[in-house]
Amino acid sequence: MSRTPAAPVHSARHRATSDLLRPWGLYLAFITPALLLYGMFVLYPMGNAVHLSFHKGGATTEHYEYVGLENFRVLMKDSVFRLALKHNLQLVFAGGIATMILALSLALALTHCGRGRSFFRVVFLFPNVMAVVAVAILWSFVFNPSFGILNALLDLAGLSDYGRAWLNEPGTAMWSVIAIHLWYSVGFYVVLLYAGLLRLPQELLEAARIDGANPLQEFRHVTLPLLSEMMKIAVIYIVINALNVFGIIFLINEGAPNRYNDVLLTYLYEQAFTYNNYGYACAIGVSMLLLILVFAALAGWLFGRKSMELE
Amino acid sequence: MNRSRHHQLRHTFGRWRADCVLAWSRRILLTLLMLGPPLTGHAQSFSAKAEIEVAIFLGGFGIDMYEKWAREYEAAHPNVKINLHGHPRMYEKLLPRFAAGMAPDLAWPGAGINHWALAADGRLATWNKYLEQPGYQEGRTFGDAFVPDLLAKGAKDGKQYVMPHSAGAFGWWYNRKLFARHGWTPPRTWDELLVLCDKIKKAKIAPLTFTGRYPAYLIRGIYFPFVISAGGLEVVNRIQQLEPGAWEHPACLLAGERLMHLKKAGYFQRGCIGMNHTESQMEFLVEHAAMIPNGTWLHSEMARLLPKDFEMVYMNCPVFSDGKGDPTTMLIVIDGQWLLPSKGKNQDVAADFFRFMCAPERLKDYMEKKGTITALKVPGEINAAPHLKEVLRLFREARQTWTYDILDRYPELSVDLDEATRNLYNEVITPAEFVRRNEESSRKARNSSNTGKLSAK
Repeated sequence: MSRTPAAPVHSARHRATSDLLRPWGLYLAFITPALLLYGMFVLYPMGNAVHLSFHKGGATTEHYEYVGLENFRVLMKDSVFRLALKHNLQLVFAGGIATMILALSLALALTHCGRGRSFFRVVFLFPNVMAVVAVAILWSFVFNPSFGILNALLDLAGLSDYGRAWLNEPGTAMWSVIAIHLWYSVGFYVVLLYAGLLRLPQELLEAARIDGANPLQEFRHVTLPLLSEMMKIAVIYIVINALNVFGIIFLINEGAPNRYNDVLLTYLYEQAFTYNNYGYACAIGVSMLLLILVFAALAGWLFGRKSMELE
Repeated sequence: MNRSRHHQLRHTFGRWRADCVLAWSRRILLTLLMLGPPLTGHAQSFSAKAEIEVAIFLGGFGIDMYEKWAREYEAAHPNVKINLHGHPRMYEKLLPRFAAGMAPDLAWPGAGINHWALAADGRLATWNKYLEQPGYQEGRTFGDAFVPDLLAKGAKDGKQYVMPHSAGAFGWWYNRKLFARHGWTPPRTWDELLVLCDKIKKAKIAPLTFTGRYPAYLIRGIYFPFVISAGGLEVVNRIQQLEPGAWEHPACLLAGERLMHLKKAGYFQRGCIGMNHTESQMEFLVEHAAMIPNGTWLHSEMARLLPKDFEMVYMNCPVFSDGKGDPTTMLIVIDGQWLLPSKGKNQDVAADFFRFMCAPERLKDYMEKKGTITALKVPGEINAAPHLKEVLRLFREARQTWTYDILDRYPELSVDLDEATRNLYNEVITPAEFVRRNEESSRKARNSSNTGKLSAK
C-alpha cells in the first residue's frame, strides 16, 4: 500500500481552497464599492434615523436628548398621524385596487391590440416618465379653482354649482390626489403586467380553449394564476409607492400642510422642517418602514400561496 | 556697568517704554475705534479686510434695494466685500447651513424658519450690544430708531434675536375706479359691508376673495379684526400670549359667526379657499372680486400685471358699530426679520451693514420705491406712492397697532389654527367647535417647548 506523499495532499488542498476563494475574492472586489456606498448612503442614514427616533432634538440641536419610546407613545395618540395614515391606506387600497384593475385591463387590451401596440405602450408609460413637479403643476391647473379646466368644463355644461376648490375641500381633496396618483403611476403597472402576459405559455391557454373554456374562464382559471407572480411584484410596488407618496402632495399644496390630503411623508416633513422635531419625524419614518415591511410580507404571503411555476 | 552706560540704557529703556506706551495707546485707540461704538451713526471703519455673506428672502419687494445698498456700503468701506443673494425659499436653504454651523453672516430667511428654535439651540447671536450704538439721530441710540412694539417682537427674555426692518400694513384693498363706476363707497361698518356686498353680488362680481390656501390670510384679514372689533385688542393679545381661556371670550365666537355669515350669504368668491396668493390677487386685479384682505406688498407684487384702469386703495376691515374695539386699530406685519447667526465670521461688519440699511435716507427711499412702511421711525415727509397714501394716513390715525405673532412664535398652533379656519370655512366645524378646538390647540402650544412664547404685557 503506497502512501500518498503529504506535500502533494497539502498542495492539492491548498489549491482547492484557493480555487474556492479565488472567485470569492473576485466577487468581493466587485461588490465592495457598491457595499460601501450602500452602507454610507442607505444603511447608515437608516440606522441613524432609527437611533434618532429614540431622541428629542431638531436640525440645529447639538446634543439630542434620549427619550426612549416616548416619540412612539406620542405617535400612537397623534390624531394627525392617524389621519395621514388613513390617507396613505386610502391610497394603498382605493388607489391600489383602481390601479390594478385599470392596469390589468389596459395590459390585456394591449395584448389583443393589433396595430399601434407600441404607440399605446409609450402613451401609457408617458406620465410615469414625467417629472413629478410637472405632473403636480399640470394637475394643479386641472383642479385650479379660478382657471382650472375641470371647473371651466362644469361651467360650460351648466353645472357651475358643482365647481369647487377640488384640492382644498374635505370631500374632494383626497380623491383628487388618488386620481392624480393613478394617472401618474398606472402606466408602469400596465407595462409590468403586459410583460407578464407575454411570458404566459401559449400551450396552456390553447389547452384551456380546446377544453371549451370561454374567455372569462380562461382569464379566471389560467391567466390570473399564471400572472400571480407578476401581480405580487406589482402589489408590492403599489404599496411601497402609495406609502412613499410625497412629491405630488407636497407640490400641489405648495409645501403647506393641508389636513385634507396630508400623508405620512408630508407630516414627517412638517414635523422635521416646520417644527424642528427631528426625533419625532424619525419615529414617523421608522413606523413607515415597519408598515411597508408588514405590507410586503402580507403581499408575499397572499400571492405566494397561489404562485405557479412556469418552468 | 559704568554710569554712562547705565544712563544710556535708562535712556534707551525709557524711550522704548515711551514707544511702547505710545504704540499700545495707538493700538487700544484703534481697537476701540474698530470694536467700540462709532462716534457718529453714519460711518464705522474696518481696517481689516472682510467679506460678508448676506442671504435674503426673495419676496414681493425683491432684493434690488439691498443690492444697491450693498454696493453703496462697499464704496464707503473699501475693505468690505458683500456677497448678497436672494431666494424665495431661503429658509429651506439656510436650515441645513445653520445645522452645519455654516450660516451666512447676516440673514433674512423668510417666514418658514423657526427663529425661536434657532435661538434656543444657540444658533443666533443677540443684537443687544449693537442696539446701544449711536443711532442716526443726535443723542439717540440705534435701538431708539425702531417702533418699540415692533422691536420687542424679536426679543425673548431681554435678548434681541430678531431685528425688524421692512414692514407692511395688512388690511382690505379695493379698486377705486371699479367702486366709482358702480357708485359704491368703501364700507366702514359691518352693516355697510352687508349692504355693499349685496350690491356687488348683484353686479355679478364676488364681493370678497382671499388667499384660502394659506388660511392665515383669512385669520389676519377678517377673523382677528372682527375679534378686535367685538371684544377689543386685549382679546387677541391674550390669545397670542396663550392665556388659558382666551378663546372662550364671546368675541371669538361672534367673529366666527360673522365670518360664516359672509360665507353663507355667498359673499366670498367660489373656490377662493383653494387659491394661492397670486391667484387670489389676480382675481382681484381682473375684477372678478371687489375686495381682498392683503398686505402692502400686494401692489409691488402685482405691479407688472396691474391694469391701467386700476387704482388700488387700502381700507381698514369694517368694524361692528356696537363693538368694544378701537376702530382705528391696524395690523402691522413685520416683513423683514433679520438674524445674526452665532457662527458668522464677521458679526460686527454684518451688524454694521444692517445699521447702514436702517439709515433714514435709505428707509425713505425704500418706502417710496417699494410702497410700504418700515419698522423704524422715519423722520420727514415721504413722497408716498398713491396706494400707500391711505395706508400712511390710517397709520398716523391709528391709536393702536397689533402684530400677528402666531405664525412666527408658535409653529404648531399656527398650523392647527390654519386647519381649524379651513374647516370652519368649509363648514366641517361650527364656530363654537372652532373656538373649542383653538382653545385646545392653545393648551398644546403652551406645553410645547418649541415656541418663542410671548410674555404678558
